[in-house]
Amino acid sequence: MSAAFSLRRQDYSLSEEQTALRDSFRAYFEKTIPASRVRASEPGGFDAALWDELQERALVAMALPESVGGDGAGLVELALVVEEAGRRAAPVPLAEVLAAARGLARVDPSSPLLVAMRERGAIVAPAPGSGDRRLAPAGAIAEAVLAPQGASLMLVTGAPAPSQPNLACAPLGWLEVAGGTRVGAADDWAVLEREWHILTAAALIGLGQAALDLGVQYAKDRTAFGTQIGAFQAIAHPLVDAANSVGAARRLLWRAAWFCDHEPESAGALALCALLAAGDAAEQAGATAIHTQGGFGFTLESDVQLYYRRAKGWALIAGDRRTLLRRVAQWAPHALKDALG
Amino acid sequence: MNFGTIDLDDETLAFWQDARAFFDRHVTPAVLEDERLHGGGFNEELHLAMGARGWVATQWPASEGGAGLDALRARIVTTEWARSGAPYILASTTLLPPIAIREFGSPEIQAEVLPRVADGTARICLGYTEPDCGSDLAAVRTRAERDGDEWVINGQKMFTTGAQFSQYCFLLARTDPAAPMHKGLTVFLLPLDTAGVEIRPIGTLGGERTNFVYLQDVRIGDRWRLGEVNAGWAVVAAPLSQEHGITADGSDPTIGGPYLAECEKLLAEFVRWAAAQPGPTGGSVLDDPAVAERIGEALVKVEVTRSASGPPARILSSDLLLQTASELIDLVGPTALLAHGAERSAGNGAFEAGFRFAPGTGIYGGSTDVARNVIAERFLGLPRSTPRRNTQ
Repeated sequence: MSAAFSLRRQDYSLSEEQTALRDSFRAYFEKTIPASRVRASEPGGFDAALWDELQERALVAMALPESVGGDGAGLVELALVVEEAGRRAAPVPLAEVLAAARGLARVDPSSPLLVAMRERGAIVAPAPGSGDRRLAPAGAIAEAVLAPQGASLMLVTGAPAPSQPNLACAPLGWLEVAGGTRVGAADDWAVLEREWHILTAAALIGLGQAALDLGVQYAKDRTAFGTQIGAFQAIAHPLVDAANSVGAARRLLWRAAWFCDHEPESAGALALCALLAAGDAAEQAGATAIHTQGGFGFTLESDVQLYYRRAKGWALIAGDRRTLLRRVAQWAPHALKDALG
Repeated sequence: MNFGTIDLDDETLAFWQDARAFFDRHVTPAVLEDERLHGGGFNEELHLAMGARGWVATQWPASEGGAGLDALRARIVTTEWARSGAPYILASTTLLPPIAIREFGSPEIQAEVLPRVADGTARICLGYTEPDCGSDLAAVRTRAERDGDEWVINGQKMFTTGAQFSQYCFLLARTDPAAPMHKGLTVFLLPLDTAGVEIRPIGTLGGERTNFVYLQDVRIGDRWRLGEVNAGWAVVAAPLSQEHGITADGSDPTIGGPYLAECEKLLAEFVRWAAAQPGPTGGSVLDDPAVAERIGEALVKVEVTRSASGPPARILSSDLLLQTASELIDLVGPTALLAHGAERSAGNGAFEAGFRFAPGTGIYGGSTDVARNVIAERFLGLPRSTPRRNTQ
């Protein structure tokens, strides 16, 4: 509807290669990460043995650009992989490390840390926010973080901080980020953050889909009042709403990832929107699945609670909601340009 | 996956410029004002002008009166039509029955009706639902009884939007009251100038006009029957699934498209309004963090809904419009309640009109609850909800 004579394709289909990539990682994570392994990783939220095993899949190399010897995978492909990890609530900091590796490669392609990330699985993660002391997403396991400080992007190395127990069983730790080495500017952080938001959104979609699948399966298996409970609209319709949210948020995430890969200058607030939408959808799916399972749903025995807690946690770890919303609003004229004429 | 800009050759660009000029010429302020006042969902002069170009049925072949446009040019016409703000309801419902007419109508009926649909002289309203029917079409009670080579029809149709501008009604009637409910139905293409047809207006909250169509001893020839006697369920199924957006592919905005566009228009109206209001700490209202956060929430949902397709898009877009229309009135304050033309009305009545328009979008064309049933059963594989008599 724009005043300009311009139309865009609206093709959300995956290529054969993308489908094969997704299926391969789905099978791999299903085999490698039973729910028991997720539970065993709690409360710290990091499975070091799994992280070592994952090195054989060379995901960091896959994510790095060819200019530094990587495979140059796009964000769309990485999002497909990370969604599958999210589907198993993988207790490894995949979104953080992949975003950090790409960010570091852009500002300091010869950094020895990049080699360490590829060769021995060194953990480098983003540390968003402001101030000198930050609750860092992988602060309890990272040997270095990339932190925005004023107009600079700083690389801060040092020992991981003590793990702090939390809702999401994420490896959160309080890190001192004063000092460090300046490796880039605020713009470099912005790109890194955007890619991290997209990969976190992918992980959240995975959580949401897994929770939804558990809820739907339960609605088919469980009978009450003489019928499968999924035949009650009071059960079915909330599941439908959750499925709609997860499905639409996934497509939004793909669109955001595609724009970052192909036309980053036109991406606007898509990555922010994808993150917020994925968090909302995952939480909705988790809450709906718990309610569908009834009393069983709020016992620790149900796997749904694993997804529900992480849905809230992973979304918040990637950014304060109110701040992100205000940033989205700044893009209003861009997002509404067709309607504004 | 591809969201790239489509390369347009010079011919396509010229086509587009011509399309924009066409709608600029025909969709005058008077046309828009007439629609605002009367909500007819139709403008005959525009419709005939579109028909003269084959644009009523853009993708029908030229041999059938269409323009034979490819998908890209058809999308360009749709885009410019939406951009113009012109009424579209009857023009879109008119294209649904031809799906069944092609499949079930006799060659004579096809030859008589389809070219006139294409040139715009024949419009078709949907005679589906009735009082006490709602979205449960198997419950229709309008009776058609055979009398030799004719049928005698008695009953009452409701929400037959656009009937006052239509030449035909795509009519679902009961022909065997003894059969299970969805097995005793037959579809007719009823010429609305037949004696015994009476059309009466129904006003709606959103300002759209819809109708009752009363049928008293309406007598039509058997040639107007579509499909076998008592096989009407299959005849309505094809166009119905299109109306519900079930068969639409991802490139198609589906029934939800106009609701999302309405929502974006309201948000744009708010942004225009807010930019002119001084904020609490300098700047405009848009710089008020509390306002920005709520607009941010709405924009996230707009992007989510833009990404959806099919039945989920129908539900998400309607729900979003309801929520946004209410939210924006809260953000603007009491001047948002003022109607079009009232003194210092915010958005010149857009917000109060949007609030009235929104609830209907969750109901017509099959309610969002029906769409949820469809998704529950077909997409999630859940058991059928509620014992349905039409399955027995």
